[in-house]
This record gives sequence, C-alpha cells and structure tokens, in this order.
Amino acid sequence: MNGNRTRPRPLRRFGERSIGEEVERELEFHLEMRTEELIAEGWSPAEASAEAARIFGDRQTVAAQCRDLEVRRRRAREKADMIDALRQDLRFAIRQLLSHPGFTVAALLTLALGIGATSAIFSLVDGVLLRPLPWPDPGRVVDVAEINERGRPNAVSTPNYEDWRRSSTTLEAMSVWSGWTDTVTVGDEAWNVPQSVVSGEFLEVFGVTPQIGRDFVAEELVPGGDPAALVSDRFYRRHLDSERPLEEQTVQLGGKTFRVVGVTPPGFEFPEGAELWTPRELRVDNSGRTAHNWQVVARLAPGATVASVQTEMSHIAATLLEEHAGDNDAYDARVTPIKEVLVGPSRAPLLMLLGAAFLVLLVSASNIAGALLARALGRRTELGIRSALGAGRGRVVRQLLTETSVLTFTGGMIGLLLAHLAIRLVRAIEPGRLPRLDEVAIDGRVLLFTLSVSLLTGIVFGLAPALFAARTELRDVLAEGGRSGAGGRRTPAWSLLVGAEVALAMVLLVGAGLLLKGLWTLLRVDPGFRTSEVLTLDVTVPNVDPPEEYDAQVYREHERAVGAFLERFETALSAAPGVERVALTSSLPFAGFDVNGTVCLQATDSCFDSDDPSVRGYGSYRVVTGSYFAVLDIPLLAGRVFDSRDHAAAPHVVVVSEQFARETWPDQDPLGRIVRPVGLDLHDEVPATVIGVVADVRHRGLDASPRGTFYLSLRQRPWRARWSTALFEGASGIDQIAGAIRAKLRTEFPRLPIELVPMEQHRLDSVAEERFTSTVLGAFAALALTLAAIGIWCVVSYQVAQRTRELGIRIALGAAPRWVLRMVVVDVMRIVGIGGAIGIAAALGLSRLLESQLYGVSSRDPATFVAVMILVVGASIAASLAPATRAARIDPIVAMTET
Amino acid sequence: MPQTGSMSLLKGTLDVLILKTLSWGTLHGYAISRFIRESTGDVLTVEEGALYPALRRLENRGWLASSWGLTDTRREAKFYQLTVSGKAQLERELGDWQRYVEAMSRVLFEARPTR
Repeated sequence: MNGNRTRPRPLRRFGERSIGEEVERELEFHLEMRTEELIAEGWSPAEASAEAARIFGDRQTVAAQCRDLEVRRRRAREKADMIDALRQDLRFAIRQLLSHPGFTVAALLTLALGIGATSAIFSLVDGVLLRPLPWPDPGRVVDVAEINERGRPNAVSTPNYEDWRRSSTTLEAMSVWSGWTDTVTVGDEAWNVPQSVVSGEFLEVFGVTPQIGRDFVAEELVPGGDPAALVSDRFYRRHLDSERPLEEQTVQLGGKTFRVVGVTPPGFEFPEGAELWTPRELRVDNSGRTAHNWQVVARLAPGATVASVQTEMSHIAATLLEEHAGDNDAYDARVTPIKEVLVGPSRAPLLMLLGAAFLVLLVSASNIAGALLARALGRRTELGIRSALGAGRGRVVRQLLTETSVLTFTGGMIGLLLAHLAIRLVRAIEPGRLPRLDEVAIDGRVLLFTLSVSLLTGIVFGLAPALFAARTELRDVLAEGGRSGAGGRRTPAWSLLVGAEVALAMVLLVGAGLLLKGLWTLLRVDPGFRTSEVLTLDVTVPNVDPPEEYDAQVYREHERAVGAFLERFETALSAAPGVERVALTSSLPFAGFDVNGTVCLQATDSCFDSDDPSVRGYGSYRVVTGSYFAVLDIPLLAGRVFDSRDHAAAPHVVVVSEQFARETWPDQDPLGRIVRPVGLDLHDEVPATVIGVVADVRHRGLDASPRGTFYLSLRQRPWRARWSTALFEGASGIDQIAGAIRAKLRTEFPRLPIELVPMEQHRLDSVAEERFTSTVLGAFAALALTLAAIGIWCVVSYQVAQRTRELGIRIALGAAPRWVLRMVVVDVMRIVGIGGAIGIAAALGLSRLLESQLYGVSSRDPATFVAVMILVVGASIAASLAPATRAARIDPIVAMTET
Repeated sequence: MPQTGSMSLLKGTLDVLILKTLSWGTLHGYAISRFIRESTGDVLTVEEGALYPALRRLENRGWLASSWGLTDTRREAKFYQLTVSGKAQLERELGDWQRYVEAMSRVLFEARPTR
C-alpha cells in the first residue's frame, strides 16, 4: 500500500537540518575544495581563499537562489505525495467496495434515500423560503393591510388607501391590487387567466420596468380612460404574436378591448402567477371606507425601514380613524415584508419536513455506521497486519474514512438524482398551494448542500468505526487465532445505533400518524353536500363589465343581459345528452373565500350600520338556480326552493340555511318573513320573502364550521352571478357527460374556456396542504421504519454469526431451539424497548409543533401512539425473526468445527 | 579570472554540461565544476557559484537526484546523480547540439552561395 513512499528523504538520514544549513554546507564545501586546489597550485592560503571566493561570485545571492529552489521542490513533492496517497486510498477504497457488491449496493441505496430526501426538501426550502424574490431589492417591498377591531388583518378600502398614499413619507411607491382569474380572449381563443387590477405605481413598487413597450400612462389611469393592459412574459409568449408590433395587439376582457401596452420581464408574476394587469380606474369603484376591496403593496423610501413605516402607518391610521369616526373600521395598519406574506404560511410545514428529512438521514446514516462497524470488525486481521507493517493509526483511519466518504459521496450523488425525481413528483402532486414552486430546482446551491451533507455524513458516521478499527493491535488479532471479529457479545455501539434508529423512526411515525389521522378526520367531515358525481365549470358572462358611470337604466339592461345569457346557458347545457341537471351558483363551495352580505329585517331605510340583530341579519350569501340544492343534495328542511314561479318579474324570494334562520329569528318560524338584501345588486329596495330553509353546508372548507347563509334566486337577481360556476349532474355518472358538455360548449359557447373539474377534486384540493405534508411525512416515516428494520436485521444477523460457536455449545448442552430463538429476540427487544421509550418521549415533545396542522386530533392522541408502538415492535420482531431462526437451527457440530 | 580567448557560457549551456558530466557517474558539486573547467580547457568560464542554483533547477525538473554522502577524503558532500528522465533529456539535448553544430558548420565552413 505504501509503494511510493520510498523516495529519498535526505533530511531524515542526516537529522534535523534546515534547507539553509544544507545549502551553506554545500557551498562551504566547494569553497574549501577550491581553496585547497589553489594552494596546491602554489597560492598562499590567504590569497587562495580570496581567489576562490572571487571565482565563486556572489555567495549570498547563490545561497538565496538555492534555498528558494529547494523550498519550491519540497513543496511540490509534499503536494505530489498527498495526491498520491489520496489516489491510493481512493483506489483501494473503490476496490474494497467493488469486492463487496452486496454491501455496497445496500449501503448506497440506504444513503441515497436518506440524502435524497434531505436534498429534495432542501431544494423546496431553498426555492420557496430562502431565495430572494425575483425583483430588484425585494426586501424593500412591503404589504400594508388594515387592522380591524378584533386585531385581524383586513383588505384595504379605496379611501383609506388614497389617504395613506397621500400622507405617507416613508414609502417611495404604493399601489393597490386585487387579483382573480377571468376569461381573456385573443382573436378566437379564450383562456382563464390569473390577473390583477392595479394602480399606477404597481410596477414601480416592485422596481420593474417593461421589457417591451411601456408602463401605463396618465391617460390610461383615469376613469373612462383608454383601456390598456400589461401582460407577463409568459402570456406574451403563449398568447400573443411576437412577430407583430406590440401596438397592434389587443385582448378582450369583460367585453372591452384592451391595448397591450407593455410586457413585464420574465419571472415577474405578482400576485402569484398573474399574467395580465389592468388599471383599477377602469373598474367601477364608488365604495366607502368599509369596503375592503384591495391589497396594498408599497416600496420603502430610501432610509426607511419596515419598523419606521409601521410607526408612520399606525399614526396615519389612527388619525384617519378619528377623522372618519363611524364610517371607518380600520383601527390600525400593519406593514409586513412581502416575502413574509407570500411564503410565511409555508414556512412551518416546510421546515417541519426538512427536520423530518434530516431524521431519515440520521436513520440511514446510523445504518451505515452499524454496517461499517461490522465490516471494520471483520477486517481486524487485515488492519492489524497493516498497522504491524508500519501503517500508522492515522493512516488506517484515513483509509477507512476515505472508504466511507466514497460511499457517502456516491450515495449522495444517487440521492441527488432521486431528489430530482422527487421534485418532479412534488410538482405533479402539489396542487398549487406552495408558492414559487416553479422556482424550485436542483441547482448549484442544492448540489453544494448535498455535497456537504454527504461528506459530513461520511466523516461523522465513518469516524467512530474507523477509530474503533484503528485501535486494533496485531497482538490481539493473533491472540484470537486469526479469526475475524468477535468483539464483545453485545457491542454497546450497536445497541446505541439500533436504539437511536428505533427512536427516530418512532418520532417520524408518530408525526406522520397524527397528520394522517388528522387528514382522515378532515376527509370524513360531511360538508353537507354531495361532492361525488358532480362536474363544475367556471362561467364568465361575456361583456360582464357595466359602464363606469352609474346609470340605473343602463345597469338594469346589463343585468337583464347577464340573466338572459345564463338562462340560455342553462337551457342549452340541460339539453346535452346524458346531462340530468344543470345548476348555477355565484360562488362554489371550497373556493377558498366566502362572500358575505347584509339583509335588513325591518322596512326601515337602512340597516347597514345597525348592531341590532332584530334589524340587521348578516351572513354568507349565494346567488343560485333552484337546481343547485338538488345537484348538491342539500336537504330542504322546510318550505320550498326556487322554481319556475320565481321568474324575474315575480316577487323576490330567498332561501335561508338552518343556521341563518336560527341566528336571525331565534325560536321563530323563518318561513314567510320579509327581508331586504342590501348592497349586493340593483335591488336594495326590493323586499324578498323567505320561502325555504335548507340544511347547513361547509362552504368555506371542511375544517371551517358552517356559516349562516342566505340564497338569492339567480333568475331574479343575476347581478352577482356575472362570474359564476355551473354544476352538472349526469344520469349515469360524470364520465359519460364530460364529452357531451364539451361538444355543446364548443358549438354554442365557443368563447368560453372549457375547464371541467369534478367537485370531488375541489374537495381534495381544499385539503391539498394537509395531503401534501402528510403524504411526504408518511413516506419519510415508512422509509425510516424500513431502514430501522433493515438495521436491526443486519445487526442481529451479524451477532448471530459471531455467536455461532457459543450458540452451538449451548444447543449441544441441551438448549432448545425455541429458547435460543427467544433469547435472540429478547436481546433485540431490550434495545428496541429503550429506543422506543426515548422515541415516545421525544415524540410527545415534538408533536406539539404539529398542533396547528392537526384537525380533530390531539397532538398526544393515545390511539396513534399505541398504534405506532405496535408497528415498531412488530417490525422489530419481524426483522429479527429470520436471523433468530437461523440461530435456533445452528448445528452444534458444524458450529464448533468451523472457524 | 577573465582570460583571453575565453567565452561566456551560452544560456542553457551550463545545464547540458552538467547533464553530460553526470552521465559518467555520481559526483558532488565541486567535482562537477572542476570537470567542466578542465574538460573545456578553461575556455568556457562561468562564475562557479552559478552551478548550484542550476543543479537545483535540474533537480526540480526531475533530471537529477541528490543525496548526501562522504567523499574519498571522508568529507561530507552533496552528491548528484542523473535520473532516467535526466538521461533522456541529455539525449535530446545532444541531438539538438549535433544539429546546431552541423548547421552552423555548413554555413561557416562549407557553403558557398550559388548564383
């Protein structure tokens, strides 16, 4: 192994002599010899010495040059030696690993899984949480929200925003935005496009300028201005004609034609995924201080900090609250860095998963450490001989560490590949709840992370076995008669490793168990309506935007057109083959938001500001067709739902939910009561009669309790159904009708984007986050348990092999195989028991971190803990059973003759 | 001591002289300098000190190996020896010299311009 170490080492042979001394000695020798030669030629000694020095030249310079060259050579040699040794170590390590393919493959796989899990989650954490947002100086962009009476953040009203903007000195630019998805038409094609309405300084807030074209100009930022739109790079590439000049390109939106004036740079898609921006001035906005319509973003002025802006905004908000007492409900303002708003909610689950991934890595690394320890013991003869032959202890440790590092490095690279696949899988299963997911990738940073983790794992987990093995003395090995191995019966190191693996697996299993149980509980929650066998389709009524200037006559016209379109839609689609029922609603359950409205209960002029529950009723509202209740199977509890009697000209009617009835008219019959829904549409003055009571439904999500709800008839008040959702029910399942619906839409409503989504999908999407975290954590826990079981199996197998002799003797002396089996298993169980107990204790402490993510399950849910314990004990027994059986079947004669 | 009829060494010449000298066997620095001096008949002169950096340069390039030993008079001295690659280098340089000398000789003593 030390082949190339025999190069001449003059320094050693002549003791500790410095380079300088050596050079001096050589030069001195020359001068002495030369002097002697000259004396022999007849010079006097003094003259000879002077002459020799003269002929020699400048001795100082020569000596300096020599020293310099010498130093250079030694450095080069040391470097070469090191590289040489490393290369040897590497070559030897690779040979070792190749000569044990079984071990190597198993170890690589184990490491790859552990490191891959960690790298995949790290790349998520990096892409979502760590990387700066893709605009200049993103740290200076903040979100500003109103704070309501209860201290909760709220959307901002137009007058408050305008006053903020006027008064603030610490903000350089400020803009409102409000985003949604709406149909955009270019030529003959239509898409549902995420978009946002913004004010003039929107791009300035983000420090972004259009890559093509320009920002909005003043004439476009006034009511009635020239309709203009900014589009994202993605929209431009996908839907516009990059060959034609931008000035000629237009898009249709809400019945208006917008000129595309600019294209934002690639990557700028705020709010999340937005592809199109239009000025807010083009929308009707005559709302008051309590109409919370906007999100506000702003850029800090030079010198300002989030704290200084917060101080100023709080002051402004307090002043406004005083000035507009009574019609302002913004009790404070809150300034939050925009990154916090975007990724804040993802932080806890992602960091939890990163922690879990590290635990998996620990389990897999412990496995490797155990296996390395076993192998180091098996190689004690080799190592003992090598150290007897002069390989220093450091050399042996280095050799073993090199082996481990080669293993972890290769494992890490395979892990990176797995991580790459895992991220693609995550992209596929994660339905858009994780922000910035498309920025996640295996890149230099993830590579660096993986490398560091791999090498660190190699060093940390390779060091103990290496140090242990390096302690080996040839004497000990020979004393054992050259037999490999046979350390103590129970090596404490192994007990420690196996115990740790069990504990770690336990923690992960408890976490996963709790999350899965929470998810299961959540999915079993009855939303109060049917989600299976219903198809949904977003329907945007063409020409939805009424003119900016309010004109009662024009608006009524407009409303009639909306109603007519929806009726035509309903009739046409009902005729599609196989379609049993069609319903329309102004908003779909599980849409992620709720729409609230007020009804006046008395005939008085206004009830808006009243706190008197006998004057004002308040709740969630929806505008629906009568078939809505039938399609979703919402039970009718009293009275009737909307039918053909409730046409536009008929007296207005309203259906209420059980809870709304209970809240509004406690202990009284709601049927026949007269209410006046106000602030919703053009019919504030029109009284409506309660004709039916339906059961409560969980519109807002499975984890949110039902809200008191009132339903308006879509035929009578279609204003709020300009953006609506159609629901389809088929005579024999939804699969049969999807094709028919598509065909019908294509022929009759070619401008409508067709995105049919099963209602069940909405239900699943509503718990997407929970599904994502519990799936990933569940996979990690399963992985950890498998690895721990493999670890137990390895250790027991090895110990049984080491104890063959002893067990053989016991069997020869009459021990029953059953007893041997039990002894081996009990040995393991002792370790599993201790590890498990530690795991349970740790899980009890850590599971509290999950509390906010658990629905309907305590973080100390006894059933989960018991189930996990049973699972771990069962897996441990299963893992030790095969080697234990082998132990019980040991043939004493074979065991004792074989060494 | 500058003598009449002596020439300064051409650059790089010292190196090939050292290699050539050592091709006969292991020598210490002083012996090398003396050999060069005597075998060139004192025609080629050099400041003797320049030999030592040159030796180290050659050693750094892997053409020489050195080791300390005792002289015939039992004095401690550093001995130099040609390595395998040093021998090869010497061969190359001899070839170069051969061609150089032949070319120069042709020009200086034989060639006659043709019309």
